Amino acid sequence: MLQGGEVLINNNKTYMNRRDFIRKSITTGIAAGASFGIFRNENIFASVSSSEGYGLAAVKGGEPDIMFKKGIEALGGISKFVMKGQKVLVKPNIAWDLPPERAANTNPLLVKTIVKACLQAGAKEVVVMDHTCHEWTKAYANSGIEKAVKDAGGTMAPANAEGYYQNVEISKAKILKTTKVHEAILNADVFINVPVLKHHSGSKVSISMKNLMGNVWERKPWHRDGLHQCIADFTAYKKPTLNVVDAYRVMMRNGPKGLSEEDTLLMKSLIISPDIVAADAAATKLFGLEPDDVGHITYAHDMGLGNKNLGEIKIKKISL
Amino acid sequence: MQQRHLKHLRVAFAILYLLFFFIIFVDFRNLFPVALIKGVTYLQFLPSIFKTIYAATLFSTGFIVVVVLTYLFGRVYCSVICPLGIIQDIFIRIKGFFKKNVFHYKKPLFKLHFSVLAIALLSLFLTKILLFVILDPYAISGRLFSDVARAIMIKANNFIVTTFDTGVSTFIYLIEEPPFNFAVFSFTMLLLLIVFIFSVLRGRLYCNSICPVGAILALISKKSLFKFRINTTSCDGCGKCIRNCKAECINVPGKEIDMLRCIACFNCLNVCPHDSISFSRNNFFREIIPSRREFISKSATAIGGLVAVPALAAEAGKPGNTFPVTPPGAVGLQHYISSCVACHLCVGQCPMQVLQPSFLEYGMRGFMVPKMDYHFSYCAYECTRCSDVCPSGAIVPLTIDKKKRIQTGMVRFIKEKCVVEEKGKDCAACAEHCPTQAVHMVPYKDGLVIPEITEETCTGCGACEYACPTQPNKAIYVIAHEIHKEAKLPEIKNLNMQVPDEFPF
Repeated sequence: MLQGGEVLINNNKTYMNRRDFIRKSITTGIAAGASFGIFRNENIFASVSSSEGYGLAAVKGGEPDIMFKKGIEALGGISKFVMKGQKVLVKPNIAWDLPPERAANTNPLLVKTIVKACLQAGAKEVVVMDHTCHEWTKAYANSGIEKAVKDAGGTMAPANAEGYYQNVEISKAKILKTTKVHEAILNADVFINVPVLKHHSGSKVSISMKNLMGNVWERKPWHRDGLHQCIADFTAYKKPTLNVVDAYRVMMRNGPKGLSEEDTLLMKSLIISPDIVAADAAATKLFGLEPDDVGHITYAHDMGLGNKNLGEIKIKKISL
Repeated sequence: MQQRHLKHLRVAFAILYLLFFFIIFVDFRNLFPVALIKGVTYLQFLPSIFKTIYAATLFSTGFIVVVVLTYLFGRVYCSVICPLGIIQDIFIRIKGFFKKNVFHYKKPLFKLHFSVLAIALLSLFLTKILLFVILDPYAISGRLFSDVARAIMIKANNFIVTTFDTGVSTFIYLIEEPPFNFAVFSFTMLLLLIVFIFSVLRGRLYCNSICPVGAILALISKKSLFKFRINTTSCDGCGKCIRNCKAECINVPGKEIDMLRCIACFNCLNVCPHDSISFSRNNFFREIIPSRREFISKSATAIGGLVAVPALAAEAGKPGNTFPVTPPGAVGLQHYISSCVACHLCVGQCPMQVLQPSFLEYGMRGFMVPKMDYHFSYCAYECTRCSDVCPSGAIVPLTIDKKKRIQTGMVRFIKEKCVVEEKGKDCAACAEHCPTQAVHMVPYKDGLVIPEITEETCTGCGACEYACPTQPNKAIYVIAHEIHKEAKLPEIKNLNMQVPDEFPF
């Protein structure tokens, strides 16, 4: 997916002629302008893709903090996504009252690294939250994420009561026309989505788009009215500025909670992309499935929310 | 220290104790440790007796301490430890600000009082009404703080958070309000109203006409070592003590203080202008031997009645076939409703707020006994809080490992109501939440997956019922076991997977 006035440089390194370039720039410029009008909440200024052309960075073989540093470098550095004085929402998966080695939540070291990076880039504040499934004070604490965020200088926000949420409309939605979102997403200038890749009994895999479910108050309607379409619908509400998929330790079965550490595999990988659909497509393949196996990836692609065809995206692969 | 200051000591201890009592019932943040809760409820008479019968530990000996205390010093329990007693004293004091309290000697109501006790004991035997649940002062106070005060505190907390815009904070935050049960709330307030009216009109009337604990302690206090004694020589019959006696038990012509009804508040001793009242013991040896025999036989019958009867009550009676799930540690329905005094401490302490007061769901025998409300919440897999705090042994103490092996009910799946079957769409909310994967997904048609159940690993925790999104009735829910069974721990198999060397794209 083209954004702004970027030039398409594909893997074969052929270049467009100037006429094509001007024509493409004008049409995408109009599209960008129009989409800015439709997706007023989308905050296009904070949603920038790398000018070197990398649409996705995939790292493997290191610890979460190192992998993030290498990955974000390849996409142009954190300053491409977080500007001085901005308010950042970092949204990991903190759904379960389980320790990090169970891989049910996002790796705390990864969250810490991201919070630190945002603050170093000059962010005014970094807020971290998730509408947990388990009891929230225990999930926040035992996941290790609360301590990691506090150590990094971020702020944990509670999401346990309806009073923290507000009604919003999603005009582009097919099913989920209205829902209640957490105020943190309404207050943020930059939205960094940090899911953990894992098996999921309902949606086959839980990655970036599924992770957005932790921003809403009522999840039951999603399960009742069409889980995969609702996942895609909510992605249309507010696409994250950046998606960082934690695949350091991956729950391969019995997701989303797993039964024990035996369900996990130490994959030591990380995927970063501003394109949520691409990030999910790549992570799905890491998991061992095809993007077309996962309903919400296809729905989101068809709604124009991102590109599931990895062949069309410039990917920076880093092995440490 | 002069004896008249004993009143002030009494007031200080009473206020301190009530404060802690209030805290443990109202603590909706689980800020205070289990040790504190156990310390506070240790001396509560009725739950302690029940606990000795059902789950005797070091912590169940509280009632013995109370019995000894009463034999030594009279009914100090009623003035310093009984939360309802202290609440009544507060009512009386508040009333005193509007119209000065003037008490008069009243004839005792022993017939009524001991009839109530006899009926309460008998009713356990006949299993129609657990009268103790309704009349026990500890349970009444517990319900007042847990059902009413805690709800108010939560509302106040939320008001503060929203009004003062405390910002993004995990220090003070919104709390989800528990479901409001009108019947339970009304009944609790009704009892409070009765006690309130009794106290502002007739002082500690409740304690000497209805309270079953008061009746038991009265029998012990009759022969207490230390008594309030009037020095008939120096007493001039001014009647000041009578006007301040909340138990209305001081008789001027006879210059006697009725130790059966005296609740050891020390008011009389404190106000006597002639120092004519003392709190003292008579000849130790003359009194102790015959009265000891009497005391043992009387208390043996009283306590024996309490010990024997719940066991009998457990055999008789038939609760309905469908009843709410009971919490892990309840052992079984009969044990649970026989030993629960419905104080609602577990309701207030449950971190998941899944325990909620019932009204008649468990029949009259289980009046207001807490139930698991799986529509509002579910039981956290590794939590034992209710069993940690229950003062009467209705929910027996458990280790986490023991708790995971308890099956309080069995999951039942109605395929026709399931989203997957009805709408042909993926859901899996139930399997998502199941802590043991007793509910797990298996391949169905059109690439869908549908729930399948492994019964032996179900713990009856209700996570599936809670999560199921179907309306108006759940497609998956828990059927309560009358007697809890054993749950098997899920089997852990090896993963046997390798990480590929290359990126798959």
